[in-house]
Amino acid sequence: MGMGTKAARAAAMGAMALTMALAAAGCGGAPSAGGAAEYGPGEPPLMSASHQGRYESLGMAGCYGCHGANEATDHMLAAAPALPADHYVDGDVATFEVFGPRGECITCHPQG
Amino acid sequence: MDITRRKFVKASAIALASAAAGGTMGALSGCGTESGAPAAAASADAAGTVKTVGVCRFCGCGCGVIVEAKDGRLVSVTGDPENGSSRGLNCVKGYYLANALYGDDRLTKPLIRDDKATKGTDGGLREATWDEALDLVAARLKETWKADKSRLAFWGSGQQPIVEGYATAKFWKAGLLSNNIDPNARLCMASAVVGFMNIFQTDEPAGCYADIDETDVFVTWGANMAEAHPMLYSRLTARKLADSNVRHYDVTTLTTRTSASADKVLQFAPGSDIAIANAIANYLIQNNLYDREFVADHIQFKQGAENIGNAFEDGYDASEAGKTVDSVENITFEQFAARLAPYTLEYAEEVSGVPAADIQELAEVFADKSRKVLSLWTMGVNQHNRGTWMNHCIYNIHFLTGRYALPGDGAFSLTGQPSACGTAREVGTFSHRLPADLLVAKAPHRRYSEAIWNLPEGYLDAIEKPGMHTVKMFRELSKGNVDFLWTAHNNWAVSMPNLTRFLGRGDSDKQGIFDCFICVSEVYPTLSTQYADVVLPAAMWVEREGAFGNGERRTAVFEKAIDPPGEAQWDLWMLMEIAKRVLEGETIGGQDAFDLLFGAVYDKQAGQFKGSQREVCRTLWEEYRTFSNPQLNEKAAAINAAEKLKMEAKQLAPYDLYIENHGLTWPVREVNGQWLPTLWRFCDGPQEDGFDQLGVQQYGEQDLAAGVSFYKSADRKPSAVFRPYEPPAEVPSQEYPFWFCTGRLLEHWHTGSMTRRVPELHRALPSALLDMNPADCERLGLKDGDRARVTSRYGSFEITVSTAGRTVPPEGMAFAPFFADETLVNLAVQDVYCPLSKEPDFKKTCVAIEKI
Repeated sequence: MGMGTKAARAAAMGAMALTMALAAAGCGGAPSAGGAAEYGPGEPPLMSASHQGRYESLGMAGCYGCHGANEATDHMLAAAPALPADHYVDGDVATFEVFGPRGECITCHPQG
Repeated sequence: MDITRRKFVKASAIALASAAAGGTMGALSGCGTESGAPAAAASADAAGTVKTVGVCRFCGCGCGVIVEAKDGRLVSVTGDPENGSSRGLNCVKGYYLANALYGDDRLTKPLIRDDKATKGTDGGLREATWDEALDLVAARLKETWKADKSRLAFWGSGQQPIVEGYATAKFWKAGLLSNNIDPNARLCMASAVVGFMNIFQTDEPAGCYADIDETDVFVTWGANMAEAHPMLYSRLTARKLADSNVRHYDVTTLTTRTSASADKVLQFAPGSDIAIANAIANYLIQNNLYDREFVADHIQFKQGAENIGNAFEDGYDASEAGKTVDSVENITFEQFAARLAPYTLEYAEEVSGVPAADIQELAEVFADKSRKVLSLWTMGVNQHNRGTWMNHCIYNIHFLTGRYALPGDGAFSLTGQPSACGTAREVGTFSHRLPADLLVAKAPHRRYSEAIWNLPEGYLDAIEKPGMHTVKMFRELSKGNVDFLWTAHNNWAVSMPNLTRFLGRGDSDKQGIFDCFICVSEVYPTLSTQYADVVLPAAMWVEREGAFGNGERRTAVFEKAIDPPGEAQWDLWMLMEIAKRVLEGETIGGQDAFDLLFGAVYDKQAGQFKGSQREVCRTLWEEYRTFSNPQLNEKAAAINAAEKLKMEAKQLAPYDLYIENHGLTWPVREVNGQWLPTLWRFCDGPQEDGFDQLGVQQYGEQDLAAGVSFYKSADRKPSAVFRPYEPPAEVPSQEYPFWFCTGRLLEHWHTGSMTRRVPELHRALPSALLDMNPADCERLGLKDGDRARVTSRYGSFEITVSTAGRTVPPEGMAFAPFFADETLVNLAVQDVYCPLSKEPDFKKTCVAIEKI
């Protein structure tokens, strides 16, 4: 995932909230769980603290609702890092369908 | 579920997205990557980045990975889509594997302890040169060997790569003529192994991971796959989500993450699983729901020794009960049915607490031949005072219903470690084994090994008697009966049960750990190194080349990607250097002993390998491969033919093919110059599609029921062995009213010595908690976050209580993982073991819990 710094991510979120402008901060999808995480290539971000219990109660849909894509939603609307293409069937976001085994989100994204 | 998965995802996403978006007013974050464009791509393409093929070094799933290194340092570990076991998947541990190499305290120099009084502390070790450390270890080993070789031991691992395990076993068995070598796989797989050998006369699963994608019903027995086999559990849930008719039954003693996908959880009283399994078998027979054709063609029936007691005492193995635990006798099907008859649904409910209707429902699932059923099990079955018996009971159900060795229809014992199969079992680093399923106790097996190792005929008769199994090894050590112990690829001071005894924290007459000379090969300081006299710093994972054999018979090579830090060295180099010192002046059949055993790969005068790591691994592999390719050795081929050993049945391919193919499942058959793997063992069908066509043609019989032929089994018939329900070794009492169960959780591998040094994994799971039932907490005046003392008749530990942990135990049970050495739950865990497999029961220690 992305290599953005904590400061860059914070700036992005600030810009997002205040101006709703495009904040090209290069945050690359890594949440700042606990405010300190910086993820290297291939390292799955941990779920942020605010997500406590979300997967357990909602399952994959609870993650997809903000991080996924379909005709009706966009991850950017939720200010959430997007699922990378390899999480979709055939590696194609346009399928709007999560590749089956990727649906067990907490296998790779435990609560941070 | 009555909607397709695609619709399910879409519908759910729409509903949730609007709620989530509401708070942000549709702001565009502009995160640098589009959906689907992995940010990793840029760095992966950067100049100077080198990609190598590897396999994860954690659990038994054996996920393939692509390793990227730059400037001598790992920069990423990603899934390898070309690995047939994982197809690009992994879990959080695997994706963070690169970081596991870079803890601040990697061991980079040999360490020596001069003052034994410092054992058990975090001090007392000083830096030393390799020569000083190796000379000391070799001198102590040789001294013990010459004085009394019953007092030396090696404790290995299911994490030891294959060629190293092979070389270690060869040194110990042929070089030292000692069987005092055993792996930590004894703690996790031994019950499955003894089950395989008793039933099939071959140690191997018949199925493969693809069964998960093809089955209609999952039955998990004592298995928390969601935490312990994450990649496979992801496939299980994917299969279930893909077809609304797929069902999952979770047979367990406590609710776990794995229970989340279950349509029905059969929560049973600890130890009563045998009563449930027998009730299912009985129901199938009583109601004529069994597969007569399959039974007639393939199965023989037996019963064995019963009322075998429990291995509380050190002398159990030599007791009358202990000596006869392996005995079995043939019985008829009718006798088998009669033995099962008392196991009514009602009786099983009485013993297990599971409603009879639920057991009947599961029995009818097995009876329904229109659907495939896959049993999966792990440590709840194996770490059991009747672990071998419970393995038998699961196979019994599958045999009665004709569900074994068929795609999607089978019984699959999942291995715990990355090379529990490949090294501990296939190479034979157990105290009773030789390579490739051969046994030290069988003369033809010794002759065969002598032929391949170029030893004089009869040379291995000196190791006819098996050595000390793991628990015996540590029990004897604690009593001062082991003078030399070398351990590698494990952390015994955290993972062994009954640590109060083994770490010398209990009885005054069991302080042997302080007297024994202990050499620990390690990558990080651990509790085990605190008891070491010498610590040898080891190269870790892709700092050297190696290979693992995973739970579905897949052998996969991990290439060397970077150099080890400091003076850390390849374990195989350590072995060669110690072996050459110990064997100095020794001869075998008139030849220099070291050169005879290892001269093909190591120049002892120069103190270096003969060739690159790739060449050394290839040479050792090719020698090992001869065990399953007897045609490569004329003498071995003659013994194989004369003794009908069927050694080709587990045929392995040339080394480089494993790299080219990102792993291959054995047996790998040579067909017209091509090497073809086997996915479904004993199942007739096209070899090119993964079936065991050539094996069945050569040794089996075609056109039998279900199209399978169990050609490795005696009379080509595996054994259904009746095993009775016998209670746990100890049951809760007034003094110790709770069951205590321990195991793994997702983020940490075993004792956490690697994964706890990865900040993200540590943050996700920083400490071990005692999962308890809220009703028990209320009764004991405990609330979340309180500290409690857990005490058994073996020892005690202190831990923080939680009612919101990963597991939800029923009243009267508590669970805690064993990864945290500051908690050290194994201080209190019993070392009672299955009398057949000698595998300890980590799941059923009786404890008292009190608020501190």
